Amino acid sequence: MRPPAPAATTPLTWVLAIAMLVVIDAAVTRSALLWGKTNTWIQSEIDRVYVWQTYDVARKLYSPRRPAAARIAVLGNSRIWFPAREAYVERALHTIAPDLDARVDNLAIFGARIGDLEIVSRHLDRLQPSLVILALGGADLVPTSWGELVNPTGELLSIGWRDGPIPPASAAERVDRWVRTVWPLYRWRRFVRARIEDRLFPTSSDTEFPDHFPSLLEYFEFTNGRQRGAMLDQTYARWRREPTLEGFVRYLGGSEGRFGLTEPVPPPESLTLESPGMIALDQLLARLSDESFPSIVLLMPENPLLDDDPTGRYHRPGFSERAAELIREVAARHHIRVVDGRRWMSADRFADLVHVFPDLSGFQEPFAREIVNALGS
Amino acid sequence: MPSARDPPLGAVLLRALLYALLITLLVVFAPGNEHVFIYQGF
Repeated sequence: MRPPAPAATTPLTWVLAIAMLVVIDAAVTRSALLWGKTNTWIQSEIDRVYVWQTYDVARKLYSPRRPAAARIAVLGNSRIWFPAREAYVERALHTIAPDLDARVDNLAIFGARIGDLEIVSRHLDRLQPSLVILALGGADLVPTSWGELVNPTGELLSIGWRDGPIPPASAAERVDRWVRTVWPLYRWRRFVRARIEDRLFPTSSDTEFPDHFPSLLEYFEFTNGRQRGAMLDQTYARWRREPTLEGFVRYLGGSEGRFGLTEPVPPPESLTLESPGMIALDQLLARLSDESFPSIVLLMPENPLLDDDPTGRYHRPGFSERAAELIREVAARHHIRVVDGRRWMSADRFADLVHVFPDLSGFQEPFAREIVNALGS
Repeated sequence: MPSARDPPLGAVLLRALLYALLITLLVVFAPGNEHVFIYQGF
């Protein structure tokens, strides 16, 4: 009598292996095993900051959230990450519209540009948003020495069968995106690795970003540590007594006339409707329009101190206006309203030349009013 | 109907589980496409 066939080669083994793979995949990618980390404010290693921040966005998209009648999705970068934290905006919404059952999903990632935002928008059907807010600054539409139109953070989330507005650099990247599209475990493998590492070797300084800052001192201490935070609080107070642009630059620790305190964008006339960043914006807005997600574009607040810099020592005069003009033109093609928030905030609401303070700036108040306005229209 | 030539079910299940776990580990830990984060802003 012949011996039985070896288990290794029988087709049944492979069929069962694939079935088990599907089960393992689901057990990992649809559970707290992957999505259980909430202390994603990282104070060590820039690489960890970006991985966990992108993870946080993926978690909001793929891990079940609190159901709500109105779901507001916010796309952007650090300019909106800080001042539109879910807790601040939901509190402000509750104040002006107590009966509104709203959930805010802040899907911003530090350093994200229009190519990254277009990639995040490919996942929005997961949320079925009642409103999408695309928070933009002019600099987000161009590559600079600070970042590309698509950055590694966006690449981690890139899915889809067709190439996006920024084509992949190689055929391998395209295949990588296809595999990421069909196979959740492959899509999130970087996060799975990070999660295993985090469980085995937790970083004690990882924490959650506060839902409220009672004072500037507490903000400075949280973001810079106790000693440096106290010093920044004093230098900031000194600037308040002498509220000039040069004084603000001193508070930031920059040198006079240093062009690196705002993003080094190109000359305004180099930005056109045919620029890759504008094409990416067009495709993003076309998707929002095609999927019938009510949407607005918000032009993010700019520090009015830069009005005192007409010669362009610290920024590129005219770039913001040029970008706003083109954004309006593209948005009009898709019947999407542009809200100009560039003058929403006074200089004392800014933590630097680009970002407004979270919570303490009060940004969430006009922001919440715009949300209520957009939901009602 | 299982025949005498079929491998034992236990061996098949064990082997299938081994393959599934190996593929999972390969997917998660295989090198390649490492993203390097470089940000020169402040």
